[in-house]
Amino acid sequence: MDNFEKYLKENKHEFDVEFTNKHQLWEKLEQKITVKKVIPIWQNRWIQFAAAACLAGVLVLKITTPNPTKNMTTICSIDGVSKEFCMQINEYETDIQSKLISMDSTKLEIPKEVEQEVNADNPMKVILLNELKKNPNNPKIKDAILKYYKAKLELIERIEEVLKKQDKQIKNEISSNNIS
Amino acid sequence: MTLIIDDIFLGKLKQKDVLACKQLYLQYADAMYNICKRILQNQTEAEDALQDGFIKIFENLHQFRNESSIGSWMKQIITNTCLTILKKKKINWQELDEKSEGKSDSENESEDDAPNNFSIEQIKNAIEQLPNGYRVVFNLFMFENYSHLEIAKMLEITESTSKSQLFKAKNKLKEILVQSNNTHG
Repeated sequence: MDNFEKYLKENKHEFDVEFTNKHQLWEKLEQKITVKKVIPIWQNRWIQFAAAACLAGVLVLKITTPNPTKNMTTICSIDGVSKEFCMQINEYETDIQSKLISMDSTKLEIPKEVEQEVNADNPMKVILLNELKKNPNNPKIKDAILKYYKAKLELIERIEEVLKKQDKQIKNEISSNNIS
Repeated sequence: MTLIIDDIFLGKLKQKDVLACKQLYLQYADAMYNICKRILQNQTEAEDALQDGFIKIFENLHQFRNESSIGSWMKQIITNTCLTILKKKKINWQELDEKSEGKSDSENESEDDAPNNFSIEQIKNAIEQLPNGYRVVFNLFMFENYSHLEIAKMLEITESTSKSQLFKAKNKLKEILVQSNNTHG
């Protein structure tokens, strides 16, 4: 190594120039590295899952939502059914109806077994209504019908609770998936 | 502040974490800019090459293995990016002639051209006046510490061509410096 080479290597940093546009260049680079590949929304598996669940939920609610007018007419139109009993049924029907409407916001798939239970025309209800027609003032039958409605309301409340939890979990997963 | 490149930080870089990429850029931007500036000379070209080089770095971080330091790995990418741009300018490599080939560096050195006779600014200006081929080999060898074999591979020339370019570059540089001293002094 000659003197000149030695001198240059020893004073290497003296030959450096200041990079004045360092921060401007970073801004350009930042734009380039943050532009992510745009995936059409329908190709996102979480969106697909949410859409499928939403569709299933809407269909299930359409099937399971009872027609209160029809049910009330059916129970209250039975000869000999008291006004008081009719009002109690009306209250349960209103509660069930409002619960089903609030469940609409979760838009999640309801299991088939549960769907059968909340179905307005399930076999248990048909049997009870037939019995009521035969004995409209029989307290045991009326009590059984009220218990049936109470159980149905509790079941729907429980389903609503579970669906809300699932809905929250899925929303969190979608959110974390989008961030990453 | 020196950046500590540990596995966690590397993981973030490989995931293109913006903050980690920024830290890496800020740590090395000055050094990498100087490599580009020395090879390409032109400020705009140097900045464009630096931008392309850093994009390549960020896109290929997943390929980085801890076999070398991240700085050397980045330096290689930046140098290659700048040299690709330079090669498009068709460098005219000049082989050594018979007379100069036999002489050693010390034989060519006289008291008049001893380095401490010149200021850093004078030497900087003189380097900028060198023809492309001389200047590139000179800078890669003197400032970037590449060997002739490495330079030959990067520039797709023979090792002897690399040596000849350096030899001629030094002579030309001294010539320019002496001339500049005579003119101004």
